[in-house]
Amino acid sequence: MLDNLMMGFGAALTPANLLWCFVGVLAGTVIGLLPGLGSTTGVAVLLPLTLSFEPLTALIMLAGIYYGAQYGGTITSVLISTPGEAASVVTAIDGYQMARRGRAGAALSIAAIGSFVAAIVSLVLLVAMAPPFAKLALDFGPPENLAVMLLGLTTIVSFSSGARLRGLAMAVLGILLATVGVDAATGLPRYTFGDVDLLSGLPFVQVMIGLFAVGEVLYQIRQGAAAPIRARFRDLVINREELSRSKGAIARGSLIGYLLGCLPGAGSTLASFLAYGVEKRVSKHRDEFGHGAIEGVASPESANNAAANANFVPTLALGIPGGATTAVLLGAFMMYGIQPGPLLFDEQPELVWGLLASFFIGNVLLLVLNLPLAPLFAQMLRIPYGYMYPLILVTSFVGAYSIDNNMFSVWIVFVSGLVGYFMKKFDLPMAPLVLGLVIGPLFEKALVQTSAMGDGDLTLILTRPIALVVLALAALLVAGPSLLKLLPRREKETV
Amino acid sequence: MRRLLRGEAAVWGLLVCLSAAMAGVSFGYGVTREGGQVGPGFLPLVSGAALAVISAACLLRSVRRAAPEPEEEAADPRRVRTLWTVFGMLLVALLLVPLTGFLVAFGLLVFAVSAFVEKQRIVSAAGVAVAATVVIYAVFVLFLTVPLPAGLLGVGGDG
Repeated sequence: MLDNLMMGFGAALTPANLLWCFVGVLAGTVIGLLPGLGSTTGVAVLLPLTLSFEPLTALIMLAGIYYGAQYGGTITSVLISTPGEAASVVTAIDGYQMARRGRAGAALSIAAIGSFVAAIVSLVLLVAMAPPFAKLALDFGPPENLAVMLLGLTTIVSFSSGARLRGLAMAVLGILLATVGVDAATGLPRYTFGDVDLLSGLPFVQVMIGLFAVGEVLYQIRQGAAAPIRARFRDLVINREELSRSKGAIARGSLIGYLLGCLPGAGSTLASFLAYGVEKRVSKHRDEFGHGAIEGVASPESANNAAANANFVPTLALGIPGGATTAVLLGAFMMYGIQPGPLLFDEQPELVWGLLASFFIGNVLLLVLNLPLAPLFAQMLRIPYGYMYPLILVTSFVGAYSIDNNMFSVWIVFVSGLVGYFMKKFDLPMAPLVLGLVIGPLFEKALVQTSAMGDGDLTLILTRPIALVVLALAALLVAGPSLLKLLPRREKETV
Repeated sequence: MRRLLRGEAAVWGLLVCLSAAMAGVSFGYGVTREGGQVGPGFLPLVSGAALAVISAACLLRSVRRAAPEPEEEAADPRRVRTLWTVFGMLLVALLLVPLTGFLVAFGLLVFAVSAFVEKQRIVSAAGVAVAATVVIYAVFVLFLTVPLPAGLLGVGGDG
């Protein structure tokens, strides 16, 4: 394997590949900064530019866009509470609160460090364990996927501390709204009222832009313009205590991200939500979550980067995309005449290992590029809010328009913005709603397939060992806090 | 009662109606298919019914809590007016798009909000609006070739 990796570095470290890796990472970061333009759109938009490249060079650049955009999305999540990427949604919760407290630079730095560590850890795991993990992922059928999604929902609801019922309501609302559009199994349109634009469902990214960016702006206007942050440059740099607090969060986030990223379809978004939920359970500073806990940035950022890399396990080894962006990359492979799958490692070793080696290089470039720039990005917050929020509104709407090039997207942002404002006003948690919307279609697909496997009997899920373990974990998450509360009381009683 | 209708209870009441209506409509899609398998109406029915029940519980809690929300009392009426002014201007900008095009409508929005709502200096507000419009044109129309609506004026849509 080491020989293969050395061969990969040999292929990736040519001047042309290095240059295009840098261009990809930089372009990805800029694309991620623009609301609505995530890695999927970025890779899709820039794919035609790479058609004249060597396949390896093209894939290196496209992969650079992929993880560059992940970090770019984080920047806007932290600075203006506008996630450029679905996987950065959860980062906005604590990252933005950190920014409002003058710690934007620290949030961005820990995101860069966490992403880097997670990327390197997950890449080592990817290189070492891709074949056995691919075999394990093959054992995941619809019941197991259903169980994983139930675990994701349970986690997200369980971290709506003090407001579990509200969290549950929002998660269920997300799933309900995700049923709008054509039913994947039968082709029957649901809740579309004859509108062609609704056939493909409520556009998730546009809803997200409305809820988070426009909703936040409207809420800030009502609260009275937030004063521009006047933090000194040195206050924007991450300190030792913050680094120390983040270590465990980065390790846990990386592991969760890697494990979930290996599952086809689970993706970075679910990984980031799960990592945040777990961190909120285990952190010593859980009371700070939602108010600017650095672990709330470190963990999901590590998870989404680890998952982004792990997404390549099913993509390369099975030819099944791990997420939306790897689905576009899979299309790119086909365009270059390459067929991903178990034989790819044997037939095109230089390409596979060159691509994997380029991930190492790209992540080093990303860290070198973003760590010094984090405090500079944070200077954006010095702009008076009276100028800032009209610009946020405009970029949000133009970003939403650019996704599908239609005004329907823009109106969705407008309506979602109003909904987001009322959700903030009445303190309704947004994360469960977003997760419900994201996994709704996948959840329904797994539900339909499980039902078909059991001839209508959904208890089939209880007969599958892996699904049972995952469900037990979910049950533990629900019952765990109550059980933990009981433990000390018993100890006291016995003393 | 008026306060209650304007507050959180109204949100939960709305959710009860929405979810119950969606659950009701789901019967028309077919809850189960042959062999008792999950049909297109199954998830909307289950999630709609569940949401109706949860929202009703939250509605009851809100009504019992009757006391006005402190945050509601603290809201500055001037800021609330500003909020709805900006929201109205946003709506006007969106309605203007077919006429003036995207860039002009939103450039005007930036200028109007900065200058008249946030009372920034007219020259600065105009400068920010023009700069924002140029940057958006360069990034989205020229670089990313997004065909922004040019409206009847035909401005800035040559992506």
